[in-house]
Parts: sequence; structure tokens; C-alpha cells
Amino acid sequence: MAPVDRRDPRSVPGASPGYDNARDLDLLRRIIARDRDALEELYTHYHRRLARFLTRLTSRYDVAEEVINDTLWVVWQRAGEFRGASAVSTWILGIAYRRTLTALRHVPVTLDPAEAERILDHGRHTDPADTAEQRDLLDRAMATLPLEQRMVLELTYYLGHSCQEIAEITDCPVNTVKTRMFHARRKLRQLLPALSGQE
Amino acid sequence: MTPEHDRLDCPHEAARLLPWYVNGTLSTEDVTRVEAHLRTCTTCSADVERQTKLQSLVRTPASVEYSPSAGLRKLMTRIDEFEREYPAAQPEVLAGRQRRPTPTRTVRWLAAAVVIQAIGLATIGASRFWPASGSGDAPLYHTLTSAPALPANAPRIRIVFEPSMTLSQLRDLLWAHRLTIVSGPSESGIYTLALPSQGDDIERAVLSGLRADSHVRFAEPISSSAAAP
Repeated sequence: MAPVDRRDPRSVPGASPGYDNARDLDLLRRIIARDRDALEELYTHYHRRLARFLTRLTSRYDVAEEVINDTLWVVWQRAGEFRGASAVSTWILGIAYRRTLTALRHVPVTLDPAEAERILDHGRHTDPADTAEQRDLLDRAMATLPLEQRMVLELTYYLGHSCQEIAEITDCPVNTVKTRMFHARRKLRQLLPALSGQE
Repeated sequence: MTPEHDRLDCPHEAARLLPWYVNGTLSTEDVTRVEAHLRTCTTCSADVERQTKLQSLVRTPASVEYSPSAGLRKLMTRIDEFEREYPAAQPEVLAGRQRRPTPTRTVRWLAAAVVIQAIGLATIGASRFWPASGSGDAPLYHTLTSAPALPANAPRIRIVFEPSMTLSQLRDLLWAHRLTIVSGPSESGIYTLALPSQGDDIERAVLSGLRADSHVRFAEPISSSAAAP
């Protein structure tokens, strides 16, 4: 595996393409002028990241698609209100975050204590080198976390946002983001000891 | 809870920054601080390895890739329907607004409102003293007071705004969705708003838009059978 430069998210294997704020701003300007091609371009750029991000959270693509559409609908209607205080991606993700919380409000989190034991058992019978199996395990473990904690994990590791950006997206203090991350990771460590590379 | 996992929590402040060190979004200052700490802390070095594994697992390409085309078509249809109901006129105003500072906008709106009221009052005054010639019943012009009443079955919404919302923000929001204030504010700050026409999709779209607004504390439709001014 090639050496990883931790300061460049693009060099991390499997990293999603980065955001381009200049391009996003240009598209927003054209959207204000009612340019549908610009909306289509923005939609296409954000769809892939949002679709995966949201289906990881909801495991239902129809819900994910509805959140994406509601989000880009708001962008279409209110592009003129964007003030440039944050990156465009932060603004769009903030809208998507709020829509997701609303959409998943009624979905119960798996808090069944027996599930933790089942995950640990599953992990004992899984080859740590089998990526697909490890992914399944991870998904199961993440499903046991409260939504806000899962969001922080996904925003950090999947979408690659900074702590400050996540604070803006989720509209809470930086320390809250760090605390949620701390609790989320602690739970994952308990459920997925193999990931820790237990000697 | 297994004790050995708890031992893995390093109390140093740098430990809390590790996820963002791993995803490459820390400032150069913070990177320096974290790397200085990593040189002396085996707990955190192991943690970095673990998080790097977690990150690459999270980013494993999905077996299913979702095409945006279906969703995009649905969005465009929704916009088409919306613009049929509300012919788009707001973008120029929205774009123009960006150049004006906030206090002026609020004062300007108030001033405009006062002027409109004054014209309305003056026109009523005029029509009393100079009744229209001819049939006399139909007014020659419309004033605010003779504005057509909303149809009785116009869908209504109950809404509460954040106290921090300015008048211009309220006006923009109402105008963007073509909403009219039917009544309010009540003692608890509830307004009743009316949509200009019916349609489940329109209502859903408007509610969506309202709820996504950070100045809206809550917005709920009132079922037409329960509507009362």
C-alpha cells in the first residue's frame, strides 16, 4: 500500500472526490438565474456522496432519495440566501442533515442488548481479512448507535469533513462533535475488537 | 464493558483530535501538536492505526452504485409543477437583495408598507367623494381593502417563527412560498398562513421548504375541515 499523506484526504484509498467550492458558488449563481442545467450539475455532484451517506444511515434508498430531493429543492428555492459565510457543501449538508433527522425521527435505533452479543459472536467467526464481512459487521455495529453519533462518524470518515465543518453542519458546538465522536468510537471498539487489531 | 477497552482512552487533549488527523482535515498547527503527542504515546499511535482501518472500511466502495437520473427527473417535475402554480419572479429580487445591508432592508420594507397603506386609505377616501360614473357598483380600481378574499378551502398552515427572525426574512419566506397571513400572531406567537391554492404536492413542498428554514420553529398543516380564521 502506498504511503498515506494524512494531510491530503485525496490520497486516502477509496476517498470520495473532494468538494470544489468555486464550482459550487458558480452553480449557485446560475441557479439564482434559474439555470436548470446548473441545478442538474449540482444535483449530480452531490447525489453520489449523499446517496451513499444516507443509505448507510437509513438502509433505504427511497428515503435517501427523498432527503436528497428535498435538500436540492431547498437549494433551488433559496440559493439567493446563501451568504458565503461557510462553504457551499457545508450549507447543503446542513440542510440534508436536518431533513435526515426529520425523516428518521420515527425509526427506532437497535438498542437491543442481545444485538451487541450477536455482533460480538458474528465477529468471532469472521475472517478479519474479509473486507465484505468486516463491512457488514461495521454496518451492524453502527446501527446500534444513536443517529447523531452515527452522523458524526459518517461525516468524518466517509465524507471527510473537519471538526469545525461538522459543527456547522450539525449546528452544535465543536466540543459536542468531539464528545459524540468519543462515545461512538468507544462503542465501536467494544463491538468490533477485531478492528482494533487485538494482539 | 471490557476494562481493556477503557484503558485505551488517552486523557490528552490531542487524543480527541485523532479522527480529524486521520481524515486529513486538521490545521497545520494541530497536526504538529498531534504528531508531537504521538511520538510519546503508544495508546494514541495504536488508536491512529485503528482509525485508519476504520476509515478505509467505511470507504469501501459499495456493491450498489445509485444513479441520480430517476431522482433528478422527480425533482425537475416537482419544480415544473411548482412553477406552474407560482410563475417564478423572485430570483432577480433575491439576487438584488444580496447587495443591500440588513437594517436598510427592514426599514425600506416598513416604509413601503406604510406607503401602500396610505395609498389605500387615500383611495378609499377619494371613492367616497367621487363615486364612479356609470353603473357605480364595480370599482374602477382595486385597493388593498377590496382585495379578493381567499377561497374558504384554501389550505392553511399554523406556524411559529424564531424570535430572531427579522421582518425582511419573514417577508422573503412568505413571498417565496406565496403565503398570506390569515391571522396572528396569537398570544403564543402562532400565525395562521394560507396557501393560495390547493394540491397535496404543493402543500407538501411548501411545508418541506418552511421546515427546512432555520427561522421556522414549527409548521403544521391545518386540515381544511378544522380550519377556522
